[in-house]
Amino acid sequence: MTADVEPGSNTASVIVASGPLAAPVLGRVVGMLTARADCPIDRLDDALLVADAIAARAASFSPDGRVHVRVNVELGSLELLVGPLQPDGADDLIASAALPGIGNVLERVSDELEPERDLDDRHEYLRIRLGFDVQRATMIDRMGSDAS
Amino acid sequence: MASDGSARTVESVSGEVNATPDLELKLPARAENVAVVRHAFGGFAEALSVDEQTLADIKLAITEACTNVVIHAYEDDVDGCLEVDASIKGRSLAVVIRDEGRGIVPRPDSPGLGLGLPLIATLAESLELGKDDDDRTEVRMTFSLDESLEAA
Repeated sequence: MTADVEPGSNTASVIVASGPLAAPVLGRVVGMLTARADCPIDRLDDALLVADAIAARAASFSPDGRVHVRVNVELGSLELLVGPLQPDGADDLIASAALPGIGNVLERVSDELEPERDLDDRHEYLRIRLGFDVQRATMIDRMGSDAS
Repeated sequence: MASDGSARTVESVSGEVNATPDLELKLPARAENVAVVRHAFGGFAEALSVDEQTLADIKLAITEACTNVVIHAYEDDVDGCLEVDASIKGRSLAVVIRDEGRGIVPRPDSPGLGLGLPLIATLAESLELGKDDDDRTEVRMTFSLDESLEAA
């Protein structure tokens, strides 16, 4: 089943099979929601990097072998909740994001990286938050200045 | 598709049960999220090397079905969700658009032209309207990927 999504929220739940579908689908959903929040291009690029890392690795630590992500976008913030994951899956997912010569993608890019457990302590989740300064030069701003 | 076979227990096409869809999306039923679904299917098609014409047909049909949810499923003052499942079986793509709204009923005050469902029926290989076990409204569509897979 898909994760809970509040009808009035800026949240999306994505569950995608591991393999070639995961990266293009998750990247597009994350990219579109983040761009819609007027995220600057450098942080949008970071968000896509995180989405790619999750798509590549998360299924290995998931109980059903699929990638589960809840994406929540607020003004100035993107939050990804990855899971449910197997026990120790959150730490394993973080560790798996280390790249030779670059370091750990998730640790370098995110502002918060926090393993969590659900209420009945059965599954883990990894909460990843990326903060950003809301881009001021939105399309509406440009249209307004063009008109004046 | 799934290299470990984990998400390939799909029994789709024409009303059969999808145990584990290859893709499940759930979003608030708002106009801007129709574009998110459409974009996600662009990624789906990219991974499957679907040709442009087939992809255009799939995206148009899905856009129509999702737009129907946004416009018609919920009362004006009620927020609701839009769910999309997609499964690949052999050379078919099965898509289910689901909502928890009032169901597909005649609407004399409809703001649209009433062309959505006929358009979907034209674009899809099959179209079914109904309810799931939880009484949620479902639009089930299948698309043939034959041409795309042969070209790939």
